[in-house]
Amino acid sequence: MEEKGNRIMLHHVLRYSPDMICVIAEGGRFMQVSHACSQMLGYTEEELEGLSAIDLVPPRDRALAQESLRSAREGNTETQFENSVIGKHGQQVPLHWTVVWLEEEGYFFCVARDISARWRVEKEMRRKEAVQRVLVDHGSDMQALLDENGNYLYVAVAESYEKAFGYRADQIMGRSSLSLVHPDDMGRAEQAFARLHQTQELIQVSDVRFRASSGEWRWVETRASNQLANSDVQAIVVSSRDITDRKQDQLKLQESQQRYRSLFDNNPSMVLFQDEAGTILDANPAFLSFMARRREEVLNRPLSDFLPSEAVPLFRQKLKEAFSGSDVSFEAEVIFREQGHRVLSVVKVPLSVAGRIVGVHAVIRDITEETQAHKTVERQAKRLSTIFESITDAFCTLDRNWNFTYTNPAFDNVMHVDSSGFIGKFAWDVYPEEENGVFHREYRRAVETGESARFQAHLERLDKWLEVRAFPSEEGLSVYFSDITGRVQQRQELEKLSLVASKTSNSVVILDAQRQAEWVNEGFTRMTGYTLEEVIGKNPRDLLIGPDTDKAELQRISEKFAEGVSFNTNLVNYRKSGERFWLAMDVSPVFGTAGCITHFVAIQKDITFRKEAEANLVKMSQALYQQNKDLEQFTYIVSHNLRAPVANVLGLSDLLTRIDKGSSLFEKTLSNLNLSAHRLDTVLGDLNTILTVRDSKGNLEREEVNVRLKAQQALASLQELLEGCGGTVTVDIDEDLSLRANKAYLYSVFHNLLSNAIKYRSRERNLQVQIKCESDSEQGVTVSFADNGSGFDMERARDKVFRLYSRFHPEIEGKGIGLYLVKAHLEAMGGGIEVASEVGAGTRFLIYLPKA
Amino acid sequence: MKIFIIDDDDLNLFLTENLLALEDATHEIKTFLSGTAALEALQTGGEAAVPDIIFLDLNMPVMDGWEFLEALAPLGPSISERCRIYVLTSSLSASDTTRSKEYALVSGLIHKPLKIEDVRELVSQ
Repeated sequence: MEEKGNRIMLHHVLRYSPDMICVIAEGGRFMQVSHACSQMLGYTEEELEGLSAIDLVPPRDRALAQESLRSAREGNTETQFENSVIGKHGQQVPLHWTVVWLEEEGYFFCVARDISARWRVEKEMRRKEAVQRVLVDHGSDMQALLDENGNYLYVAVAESYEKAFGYRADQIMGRSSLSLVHPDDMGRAEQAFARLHQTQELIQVSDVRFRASSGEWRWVETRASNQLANSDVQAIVVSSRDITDRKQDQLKLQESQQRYRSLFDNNPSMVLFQDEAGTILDANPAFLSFMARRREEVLNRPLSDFLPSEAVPLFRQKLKEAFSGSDVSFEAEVIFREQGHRVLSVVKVPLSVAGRIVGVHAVIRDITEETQAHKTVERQAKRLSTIFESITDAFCTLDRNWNFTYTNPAFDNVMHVDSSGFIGKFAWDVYPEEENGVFHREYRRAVETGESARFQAHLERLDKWLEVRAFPSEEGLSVYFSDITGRVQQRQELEKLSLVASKTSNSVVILDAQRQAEWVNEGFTRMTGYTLEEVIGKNPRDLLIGPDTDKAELQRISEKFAEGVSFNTNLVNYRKSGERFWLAMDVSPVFGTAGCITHFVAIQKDITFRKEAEANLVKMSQALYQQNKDLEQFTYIVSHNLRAPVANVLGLSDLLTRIDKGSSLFEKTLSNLNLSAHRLDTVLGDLNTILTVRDSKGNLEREEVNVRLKAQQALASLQELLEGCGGTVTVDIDEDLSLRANKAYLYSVFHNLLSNAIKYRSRERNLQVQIKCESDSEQGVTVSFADNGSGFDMERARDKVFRLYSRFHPEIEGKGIGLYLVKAHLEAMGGGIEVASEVGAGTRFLIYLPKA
Repeated sequence: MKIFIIDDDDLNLFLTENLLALEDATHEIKTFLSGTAALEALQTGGEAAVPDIIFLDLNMPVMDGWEFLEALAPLGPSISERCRIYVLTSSLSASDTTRSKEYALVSGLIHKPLKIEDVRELVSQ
């Protein structure tokens, strides 16, 4: 009965137990399974019995399952473990196993409980934790509760926050939240805190700096809510976020914007921002100033409005290129109406936002001056190079270490070398035999003294004579040289020739092609006073010419030299002593083998004597010409004055025949005829006098005459007339003054002058005459004869005063012969006379007479 | 007919004046011893003073015949249209004859002495 009862119970247990009870054979196969299996796994008992239990376990759990079974068997104890089992429909079912090994029966007794519900709860909990974690990590960085004074009561800190600030929650706990605030932000923080006490609302404070443990200031955004009155919380709830990165980005953005603006506005280049159509969206002051426009005149207008039409296509094309995504730079020569010709350097840079080009920055630089400067530099460099190349002399430069730095093509010609490899080479490696020779010595001297050197030297290697000029500079030495071998040989030859020339008495000068004296003979030295040493290497002309040398003739000589033809010349030169002399010179060019002039030979002669004779001849012929002219004048005047009375005689005698003999007119005519005949006689008498004087020249009778005495004799003869008009005469002549003269002529001179003075005295005042010796030298005597008479107009009289039959006072009787005679008499004695007069003031004669 | 005679030689003035008067007593003759005196008479007398004929000597002091002709030029057409000027000179020099032709005012040159035939010819013109 009891057994039957046990069996019934077992049957019920197996039928109703929510756990799956099963018996598993030693090999692992299900032997018996309770009914729960169909609910748990979806298998019926019959389906499971005979299956291998391990086959239902997912592979990852099998090892654990087998291990657990083994330990249950070996340890002979109850073993519990959890694993999943795959159900009939493939679902995994978590199970909690309790296993016991029944040794006697030789099988496992197992109870498996479905733990799906527990697993679900645990999983849900894990998920919630993870979500919170993520929320803290990704949401607010720190959450805290503060007491009413702002001290931390509770702090929850995200990992990143902790890392950034370097505080652990427990380090902050209990401290005042304000103690970490930046002093500059303290005001705002305190203000916000104060507001928290007044309101229940959520308060947000952004951009407050908190000090990190490293001392760094970090930007924090905080939201706080006063929950002190909330009995569940009783604190101020604070949630903060570290916004340092954002803030720094923002500041950086601001800074970069400012930097951009500053670059834009202060850029000395013109900067534009254009859209695809070329419209100017922004322009900097440099652009505005260049265009002389205001900002509003430029914005939203196409750039082409400000360019001359011919420049527009280029700018448009380049803008298009920039909009295609590439940086573009180009130079443009633009002719503006106001600014004139300009060279512009333009860079166009596309601005790309989110992969799209929204505009183009154009940076325009006015490089007109740079371009010009560049061109100038280029041109000058070219010119310098041309100069170097075109130096016809051989030319090279050496640096301070005697290395070649340049050679020109002529260098190679003269030196018979290919100098292309010389640059950088040590000069005395190239010409070792010249080291410490003349060249070396002269170059060194030039470099040391800083003064240029000029010398002639023989180059052994080529057996050549070179003329060298070396100019030192900072860089070293510039050396010019030319081959003068031919010249030196010619000079040696000329020296031989000059031996011959030295024997001639004429002056001989040999000049080189540049007209510098190479040689002069003794004749030259005799004539000019200059020795060979003094002349050599110089142009003799520079020594010999002087103030009286004919400039035009010098010019002609220069031209003849330049033409290279033979010529001769006469011109005034000066000896070394300063003495002037006339030089006659024949110059002939000497041609070298190449057909060009190598020398000039000049043969010179002193022709001063001949020139003086010539000058005398000229003087004589001039005197003769003058005399001849005087004679012509004389003849004319005499013929006129002689014919006048003759014509009257003719006319009057004819008239007589036509009138009544008894009439008074007849008487008058007859008396006039008589008068005319007398006048004719007077003229003939004058002529006789004049001709006598003229003829007396040269064979005049002369004796020692006392000048004062003659003046007084003339005065005495006119005494009566003088007294009649109340005139006075003073004679201021030394009593002893005497000279060799003709007595009668000298008397006549004084008499005529005195007689004229009385005749032409002023009617307004008494006549005063002064006769005075003005100067008395070995050569001669000058006597002045001055009156205060009526005078005459010098302007009109000038050259007529002393002319025969010239008269200036028609109202006063006179023949116009007195002064003519005075002059004639004085000239006959080798003297002369001058006059100065002023109408109404008087007349002054200056008489000159030679002593012998 | 109104006639001026200009000459510094008083004998020639006498001769010429009488010869002209002898030919035609109605002639109104004025004599001047210098060019300046004659010039003054012409300048102050106006057109009425301008004679039909002037006999002008060349060789005179102060203002010779040539200078007189130069001085006359500014007076212009009033002289040249109304008056004939004859140079009356004792000079036989060809240079004077040539020179006299350079003066548009001069109608001719007569060598002294003035002859009765000359007078008839001149007056008839």
